[in-house]
Amino acid sequence: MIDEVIKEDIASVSEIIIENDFETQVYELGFHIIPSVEKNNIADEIGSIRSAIEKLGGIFVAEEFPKLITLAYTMTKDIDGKRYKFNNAYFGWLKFEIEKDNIIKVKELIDSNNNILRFLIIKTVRESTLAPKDAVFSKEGVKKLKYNTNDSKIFKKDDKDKEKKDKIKKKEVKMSEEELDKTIEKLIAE
Amino acid sequence: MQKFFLINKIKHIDYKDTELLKSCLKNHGRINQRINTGVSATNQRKLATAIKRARFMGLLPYVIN
Repeated sequence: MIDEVIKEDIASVSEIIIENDFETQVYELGFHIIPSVEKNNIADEIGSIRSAIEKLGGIFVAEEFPKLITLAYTMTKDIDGKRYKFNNAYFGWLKFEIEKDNIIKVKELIDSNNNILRFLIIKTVRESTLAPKDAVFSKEGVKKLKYNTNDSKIFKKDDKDKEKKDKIKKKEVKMSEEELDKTIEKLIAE
Repeated sequence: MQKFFLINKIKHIDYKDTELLKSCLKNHGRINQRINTGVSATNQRKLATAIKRARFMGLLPYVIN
């Protein structure tokens, strides 16, 4: 009886271990394709990356088709012993779910691709991580928000300054015109 | 800034949100301190990571001349 219970326990534990072996994670692959690749061939280039990931058991969650962008700085890449400089590139990204062990294979595959200028693989979540489009962000807006928050130290300093200024103003207002006249008369009499 | 994250319910800061990240940079491209951004320590770390990733990918410059 006891042996049966132990066997069942072992079986359940082994199942858990097997499940952990095939643990998956959502990854995001951002990449730059070199601008010398023709526009018509970009779809094929992405198709090859997608098929390679799918072969390794990847499931796609989201993606963005590459767009030609101006890079913030000049990037270099060695292709067949020659160093090339790039100021533009087609930037795109793929979000997919894959087994943790297989992500190294994906990295090796993309590393060997000469048409990819630079890439970045990061751990992410299923949901969209991009800020909502209606959330307009401006430097002026940040300043307004910063000064409206009670937590910021800057606001606390400003608060104290304002209080001091208000107190000075109140003191100034207290002296009415009649009082002023009386004080002037007193001074003249002296 | 912290309020911006709270109002819009932003849990993750993406390195592709360059407009958002640019507002956290100084004139020469350095990352603003927490006292200037006004965000929580957690979000400041997330911001710094996102900016560094964006720099690596050429979406943001390392130095602005």
